[in-house]
Order: sequence, then structure tokens, then C-alpha cells
Amino acid sequence: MAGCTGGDGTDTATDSPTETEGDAMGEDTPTPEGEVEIPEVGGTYNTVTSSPVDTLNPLYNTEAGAGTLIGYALDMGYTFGPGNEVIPQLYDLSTDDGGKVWTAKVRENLEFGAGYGQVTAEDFVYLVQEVHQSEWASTSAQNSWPSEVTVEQTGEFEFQIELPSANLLYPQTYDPLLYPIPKDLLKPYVDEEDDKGLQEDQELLELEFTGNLGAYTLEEWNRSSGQTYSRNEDYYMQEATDINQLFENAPYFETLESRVVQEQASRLGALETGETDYAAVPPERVEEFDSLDNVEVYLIPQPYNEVCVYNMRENGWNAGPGNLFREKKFRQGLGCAVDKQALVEGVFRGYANVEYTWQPRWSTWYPSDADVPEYGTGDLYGQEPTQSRIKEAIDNVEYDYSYDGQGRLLNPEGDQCTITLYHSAGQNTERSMAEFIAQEFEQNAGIAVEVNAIQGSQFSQEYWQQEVPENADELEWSNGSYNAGPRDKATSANPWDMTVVFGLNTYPLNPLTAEVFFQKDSFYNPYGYYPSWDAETLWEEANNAESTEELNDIMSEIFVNVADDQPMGMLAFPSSRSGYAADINGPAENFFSGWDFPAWYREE
Amino acid sequence: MGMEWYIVRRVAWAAIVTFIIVSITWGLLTAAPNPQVQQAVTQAAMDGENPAEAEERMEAQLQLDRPLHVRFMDYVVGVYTLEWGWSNTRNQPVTSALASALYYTVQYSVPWTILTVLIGPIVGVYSAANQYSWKDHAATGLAFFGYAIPNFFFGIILLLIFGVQLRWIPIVYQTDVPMFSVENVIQLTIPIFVLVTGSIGAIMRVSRNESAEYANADFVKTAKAKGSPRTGSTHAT
Repeated sequence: MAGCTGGDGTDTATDSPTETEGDAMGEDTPTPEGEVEIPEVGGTYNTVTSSPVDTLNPLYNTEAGAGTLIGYALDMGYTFGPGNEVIPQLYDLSTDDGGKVWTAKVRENLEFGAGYGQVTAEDFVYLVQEVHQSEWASTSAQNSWPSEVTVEQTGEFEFQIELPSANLLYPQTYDPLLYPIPKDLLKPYVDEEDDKGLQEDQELLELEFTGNLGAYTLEEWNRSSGQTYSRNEDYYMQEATDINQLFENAPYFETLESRVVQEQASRLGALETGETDYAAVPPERVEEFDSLDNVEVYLIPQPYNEVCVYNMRENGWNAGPGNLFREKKFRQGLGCAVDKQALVEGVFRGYANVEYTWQPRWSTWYPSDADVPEYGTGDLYGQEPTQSRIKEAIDNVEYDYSYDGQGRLLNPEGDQCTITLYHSAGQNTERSMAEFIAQEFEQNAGIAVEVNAIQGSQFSQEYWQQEVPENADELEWSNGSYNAGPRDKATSANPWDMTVVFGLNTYPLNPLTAEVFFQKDSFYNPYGYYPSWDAETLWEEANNAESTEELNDIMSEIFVNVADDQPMGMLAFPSSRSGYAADINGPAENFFSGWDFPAWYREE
Repeated sequence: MGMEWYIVRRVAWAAIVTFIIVSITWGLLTAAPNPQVQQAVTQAAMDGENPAEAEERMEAQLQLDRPLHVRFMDYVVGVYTLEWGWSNTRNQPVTSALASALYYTVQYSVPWTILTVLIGPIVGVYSAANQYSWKDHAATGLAFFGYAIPNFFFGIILLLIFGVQLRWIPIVYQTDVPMFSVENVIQLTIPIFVLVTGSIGAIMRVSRNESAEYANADFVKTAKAKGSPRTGSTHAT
């Protein structure tokens, strides 16, 4: 294996044979140092996807998989490289007033195809003003460009973005990330306000206008079987050797083929026989594939976590009166009940990292110097720490909960507390995780847990989302079905106690987005969490921070509070396991793997 | 008058039935929550934006904000005039989607149908002619095996054996090889084999039972008594 993001479950340095070799954030310099030998161009890069894509129209795509396919032929404004460095592609974003006004300098060597001419700042400004900010177009980037954001052309190759309030992490929000689309292509649709026409435009759907703006050119899109691309010999990034010397003659494959192979066994078979250069490898087959001479498995850290969410709304905690999940001490007790290390090693086979707060440990925003309580490991794991905290919690409530001699938590009627835990039907890893949690709760907290399978969409509709009360106007807040009101007033159609159905994105580049998960009156609070810390003030301070250092301090405080308050059982960050043909040079075991895909090549 | 009137009535009735089916389908589709709208709402909420606005926007984009009767009329007229609209999952006209898929479907469904129709009855009659012999048992066993094993599973097993282990066939279907070429025959062999084994079972059993019924029929006995050189199974067929 080329290394691992912490096969022991923690990405701290240990003696484990599968520990992290480098840094998940990829602090190493992105550009190879010294003289670099430029590879020969030739051959085909083959890749597979698990499902066909709906659209390749850059203005309307919302899927990550299709985004990759569009990205082969069309770059976006910028990207992120190792060490969280912003890598300018089409334009370079900078600010000199603390993040209120951002200036984008557009490269001068960008050319559209299909006779649309040179790319200028006007194309980007027109796209934002007339399409993204319009009321008729409903593009997927519409939410990134509210009317309060003003965009203005300040030169042939320069435009400015002015924000309503300063944001130091504006590039990290991905909001200013634009595709280049020719003004002349858009204009007829803008004049007619024809959103349907724009969605169905042949040149957009088949990426016929991409000129030198991507490493490859889309030759054919066969709807159910895949895409064929050819090398773009005029790729504009060939001039960006200051970023990576290997861009000099990039890309290095004559053709690129992406095929839809829906069956996992077939994708893995193709990886083994060399028919594809890439396929995701399930945890139970990592060792087998890594032992093959022609395959190398990379463990790439991900920002998606696995959480056990407690329902703190009125219809949660159905084991007795009241809702014990609302007690901080009770949640801390549950945090001590699950052995996260064992979870990571047993259920995820070591291909995950333990989670203690709402950031992966490799994130630059992880409160490294602060004292993050590590619930679920060491002294904060086991029956004693669990039950002592739960006892404190039940002393604090008006109902008569107690422990019996066998360590079982009894409700006021004298019966053992029994709660339910939902997981997605058909997801084996998730089911194993749910069963492990149930076993640990029974053993350490004395709470019986019934594990139930459910379809994700059904859970979302009938359990996760609340019904908006009729008197919504009279409530303190009512923000749609994911937070239809205060937890005593708004509940879902059906009662539920706990769920592992949803994993959430912790956004390690832009932690400000986590605000929505930890404010009682935000747009997303299906679980009815009310922070016991002063979340409102801290988030406000974070949003108004004037320097990265200040922001870092505030985020540290927030993430320590989150770890301490245990709004949900924060369990693990599974890594993505990517199998590549061993002779492909380029993939790396960090969060940014793939940022320099045009420079990838096949070793002789 | 009689026959014409009968045909007219049947055709009219068929039109009514299809209309009812089309209407019920529309009703079910309309009543079901739209996954695209749900996805937009969830995404907006998680991005800290107003989910209600996202819902309205997506409904407007999908034209779900029009009155029900307008949507119904639009749907019905579209169905009967072959204006099947735009496929949101493929982003091309539905008729083009069907046409392009047909090219690939024909390549395996025609040989599959021909082989099933040929092999099923032949094996069935052969079995009937050799009832309770090892040949009959072998044919019956094969038929039940093909019938019982799920196609997706059998396909994967054969792919692992012939693709991964023996490397005789490609794992990934190549769309760019010519329809009438050796490569195409090779890559279609396993899919067709799996489909045929999955469908000849029932045909073979019906043929066997039907043939067995006639194996001792009077006309077969007479033919045999007259010294017909052919076997009973041919006559029974």
C-alpha cells in the first residue's frame, strides 16, 4: 500500500504498520523540485463510473461524478492543491481589504472553441449578472450569486466581486468558482429568458465550445455507456509551469475513456485485468488488490463523517418520559459508550479515522492546541465513564430513571430503556456500524437498542423532516422542513430515537459552513439541537473575523465546544479507497489528490 | 357489419383502456414526491439557504407549478402525439434516447430470442423422447439451473471465470467495435448465453410435457406400427 490515512483509526503518528506516511492535507510542495523529465505523450487513460450521468451541461450539473467528467474538458476558475493552497487556473483571485472586494485576474491565453474567440472578463461578468443572478435561469450556481454580491468588469482581463460583508475564506466557499461560458452562446437565451433552451443547448451539453480550456476534448458522449475524450494539444495550462513543471506538455494521454460499469464486481474485475486504470475498492478487498503487481490502492481522506444522530425533538427518546438526549451529560455518557477505535478497526477495517469534533484531524482548522475531549477512546470509553455521566444526567431530570444492579438503565415504570436506531437498508457497512453501536450501548450504557433498516428517502420524508406547523407564523422560528420550528413545537410525522442514515460533510476548507448544523434556529436542525454554549456569538465572531489567525482561534473554540457538547455521536471519517493501475503516476494520498490530473502519466 | 363493428368496438375499447392506464400513471407520478425537488430542498437547507425558496425554484424549473389540469392535458397530448419530451436523466429527447438504446438492445435481444425459440423446444422434445434417461435428467437439470440462478449473479460468475481468470472476454463492454465483427461476437457471447439459459427453462419444460403427452398418442403408435423410420418425437412435434 502506498501508505494510509491512519489504518489504526487515528491519524496521529503511531507504530501501526498502516499509519499515515505523509500528511492528509498534503503539506508537501505541489511542484516537483529540480529538473523534471517531461513524459512522452501516448496511450489511453481508462476510467470507470458506477452510473451514467444526467447532464454534462456545466450550468446545470449538480453531481460530483458529472463534475469530474466535465472537468476533463473544461477547467473552472481555480482549484485547491496540497496544503490547501489556492491554485489559479482560469483566473487568480486576490483581496487587499480583508475579504470584502475580490479581484479576479483572467489569464490572457484562454480561447473558446466553435468560433467564440478569446475568453475575457466580460464572459464571466455576463454569466454572473445575466444568468446566475437572473430569476429565470435557475442554474446550479444560482445560490452562490445572490443579488447582494456585485460583479463588475474592471478591465479586459479583470473583474471584481464585492461581497456584502468581508469573508476571508471566500474562495474556500466555492462560490466564486465559475466555468467559462461564451457570452455569445448565452445571449440568445438571455434575450428570450429561455431556461429550458439553455438546459438543452447542444453546445453546452456536448461541451463543444471548450477550445483550449480543458486538458481533453469531449469527442463522444454515449448516454448509457460513457464518454470518449481526445488530448487537447493546446491546453492553456501548458504555460503554467510555475505551478507544476509537468504541465509543460500536458496532458500525457492521447485519449481518455470513461465507461459506465454499474456492477462493482465488474469494475474490480476490469481493474484487475487492466481494462481500467481506476476503480474504487471496497474495504474488504483493499489488501487483495494492493497485493496485485499491477494495482496500487490509495487511501484518500474524505471530509464526510459517520454520525449517530439523537432526536432531541419532542418525538425523540421513546423509552420513557422526557427526552434524555437533551441533557448534555447524557450525550457525553453516550459518547463514552462506543469504542471508536474498535469501530474503525472492526467495521471500517482500519480504513477510516476516528472523529471527535466537526473537523477531521488533518484539517488546518482542527483545534490542535486546544483540549478536545476524545469521547470514545482511552479514559473516556467504558461502562464506568458512561454510566457515571448518565447518572448525573438522570439526577438532573424530573423523572425517576435509575440503574439496576445489572447495569441496566430503567425508566420510571421499572422497564429497561429501549430505543430504536435506523440505518439505510442495503448498506452493509452502515448496518454493521448500527449493530456495533447497539451492542456498545447495551453493554456500557445499559440501554437496549433495536436496529431497524429503512430506505433513506423514506427516512428523510417521514422521520427526518418535520411537518411545518399550521401556526408557523407564531413560532419563534420556522425555517422549512429541516427546522420547522422549536423542538417542542415541530416534529416529524413519525417518532424516532437515533439514526446513522446520514453522513454529513464537515467542509475542512471552509469550516464556517458548519454553522448551519449547530445553531438552534438555522435552516438545518432536524435533530432539535440547542447548543449549551454561546453558539450565536461565536459564529457571529467567526463570520466577522478580520484575519486568518483570529478566525483560527474562534474556530478552535467552536470545535472544542462541539466536542464537549456532543450534539451527536461523532464517530468516524471513512477514507476513500482508490485503486489505480500501478504504472499511473500522479495519484496521492491526500485530500487534494487529482488537482493536477492533466499532469498524470503512465510510467514506461 | 358484424366483423367490422366488432373490430371498431375492440379498437375503441383499447383506446379507452390505454387512456385509463395513461391517466393512472400520470396520477401516480404526480402524487409521488419528486426526488429532484427533494434533493434541491435538502441541499439548500444544508447550505444554509431557504429550502422553501429552493423548492419553489425547482418546481418552476420542472414546470410543476402549473395547475394540475394543464399538466394533465400536456401529458396526455404529448403521449398520443409522440411528443415524449426531454429525458432529464439522459438530457436528450426521449425518442432519440430510445433510438440510440435500440441499436445496442437489438444486438443481444435478436440472437437471444432466436436461440431461445430454437433451443427450448428442441431440448424439450429431445427430453420427452428420451424420458427418464440420463439425457433427460441432464437437460432437465440444465433447464432448472438456468431458470433458478439469478441472471445478474450468473453473469458475474461467468465474467470472473472467462474475463478475469481466463481473460477470453473483455470485462467492459466496448461500444465502438463494429456490430458485425469477431470482437462483438466475443463480447456478446456471455450476455446472450446467460439470457438464453435464463429463459429456455420454462419453454423446454412446456415442450417436454406437451411432447410426452403425444408420445403415446394413437397417431404416433400407428406411425411406428407402419414402420416409420422416424422417432416418435418428430411425429409428436
